[in-house]
Amino acid sequence: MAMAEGKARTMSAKEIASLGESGIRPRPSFWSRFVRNRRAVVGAALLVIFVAIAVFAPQIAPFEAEEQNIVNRLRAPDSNYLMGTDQLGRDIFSRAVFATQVSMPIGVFAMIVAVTVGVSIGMASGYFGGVTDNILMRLTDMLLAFPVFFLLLTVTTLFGRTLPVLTLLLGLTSWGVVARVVRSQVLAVKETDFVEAAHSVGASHLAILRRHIFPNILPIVIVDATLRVALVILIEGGISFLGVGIQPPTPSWGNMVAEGTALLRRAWWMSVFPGAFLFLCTMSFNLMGDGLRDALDPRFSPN
Amino acid sequence: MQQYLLRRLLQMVPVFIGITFITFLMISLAPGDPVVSLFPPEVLDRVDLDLLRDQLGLNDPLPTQYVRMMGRFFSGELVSFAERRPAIDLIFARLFPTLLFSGLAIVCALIIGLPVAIISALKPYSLFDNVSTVSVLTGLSLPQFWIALILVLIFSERLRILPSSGIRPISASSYDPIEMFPYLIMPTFVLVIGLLPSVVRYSRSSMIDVLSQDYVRTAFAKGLANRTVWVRHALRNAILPVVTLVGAIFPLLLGGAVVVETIFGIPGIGRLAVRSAQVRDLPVILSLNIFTAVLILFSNMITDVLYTTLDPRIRLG
Repeated sequence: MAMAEGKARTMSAKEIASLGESGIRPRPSFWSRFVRNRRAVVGAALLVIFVAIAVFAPQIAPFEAEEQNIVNRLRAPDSNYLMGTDQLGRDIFSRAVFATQVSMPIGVFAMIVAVTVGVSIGMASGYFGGVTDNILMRLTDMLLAFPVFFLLLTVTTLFGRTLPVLTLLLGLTSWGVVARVVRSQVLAVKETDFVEAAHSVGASHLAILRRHIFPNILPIVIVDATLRVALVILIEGGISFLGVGIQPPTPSWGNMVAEGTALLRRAWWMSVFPGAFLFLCTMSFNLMGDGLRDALDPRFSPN
Repeated sequence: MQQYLLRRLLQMVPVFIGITFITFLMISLAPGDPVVSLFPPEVLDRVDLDLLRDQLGLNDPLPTQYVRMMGRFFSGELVSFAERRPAIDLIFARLFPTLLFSGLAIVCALIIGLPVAIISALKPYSLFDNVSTVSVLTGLSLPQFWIALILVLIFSERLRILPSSGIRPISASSYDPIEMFPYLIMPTFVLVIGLLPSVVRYSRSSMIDVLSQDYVRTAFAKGLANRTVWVRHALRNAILPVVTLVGAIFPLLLGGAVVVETIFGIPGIGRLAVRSAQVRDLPVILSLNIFTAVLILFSNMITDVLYTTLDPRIRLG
């Protein structure tokens, strides 16, 4: 089994030195590649800020999310109400902060659902091939033939809009691309010598999938998972904006923007600030994912 | 070629049946009574719901309902619960604005996106490329509804130079491009923002891919001018895969249409989808899902066929 591990042989110091002479340098480590990418660092910093906002929301927000102060309704931003107030006198800043506690977990959990389903289907499809592949890929085709928003409008209307249901639906409607990407990776990995070697020493399918194929597709799965959180948060924002996602009074960036549309002329801050939160949070995951891709995926290496 | 087309069409059949059946199952298995939502609560107790359910065929077994619904869809007899008109008529009546904006958005996205992608690919990791990558990531992260509202705020509310809703002046009786122009700018802009990241990203990697091919290196090696190699050898081959992209971005466009049509008050199928989802108008929801799925299946097929026709290296096996 040791032969079949599929890990690259470690080079001796002498070999590395000779590579340097021939002008070929070994690939820099993951960390140095990630840190060198300024976009990735900015994304990581932004992400840390958003995680902190989500965790410390009660300490950060000066007001409760649903605390009404009707005397101060539709106040423009000032030192007391940093981002103004809405038609019920609720503090926009506090609500946007508490919305972080709603949207980020939805994004992460829906991603976990999507990636779990997508990786399982993609691996089974690519590894077993034949009829299994055909059936699973046609299933994937079907999912991808639905425009996401049409599908979500339909299923959220039909199956309800509580947080767990919404999370599950967002995950179950977005595994299609994951399955396709994973499948194509598995197709390449399963032709390698180390997989063949594992076969020849009698390793079971499950063992091969788990110990030899999965570790090799992991970098691509990690990159996709990061980018998928961004996508799911954005889609959640969209359906909440359309009124079929998270329902008021629970604050979500999408439904806060929607509440502001009717009052756009009088209180622009009601829509503009929550939308900015949504944009920056999505951006943090996209920058992270892009940086991870540069660092993890040899095809996107700058050198 | 004919054989290939035929086989592609046949491959679509199971996917089509799958899509329609899944849609139908979702609708049938969903909790809640579609009949109840048709009436305001105050008249509900005066309506014989059981009789109505019987008349609408909602008490029959599921397979019977599926076959009947499909038969009705194809014969145009699937009638909207809410509007008492054939669902397919409702869709066709709202198709024009959606297709108009989709077409405009695709054309604009290609005109802007392709040159940006090509310049980025020729000098990867240059300043230009970095700026364009950051723009792509920004575009990917921008909520379309938020951008739309900010545009309305600036150009309709403050500057008052662009209309905030509709696709033509209320007084207009025909679709006159000149009259419509101001109405088209903001919705198209928002849709283009949704498409540009995919166009730039995809075309850039296609171009980089081609530039690393042996024949490009050979062309450089034999001393051809950079421009000649880029245009003659690289660009021509890099453009091909972009054709498939146009098919792939269609679902994206329909998703964008839902948001854009809602905000800008455009009477397209996106807004129809939102409204029929709100009142649980099953025949319309079903028809819309079938319709858009077929549209996407066909656009995928056409791009595939176009691709194989344009690229002589691909044999129709």
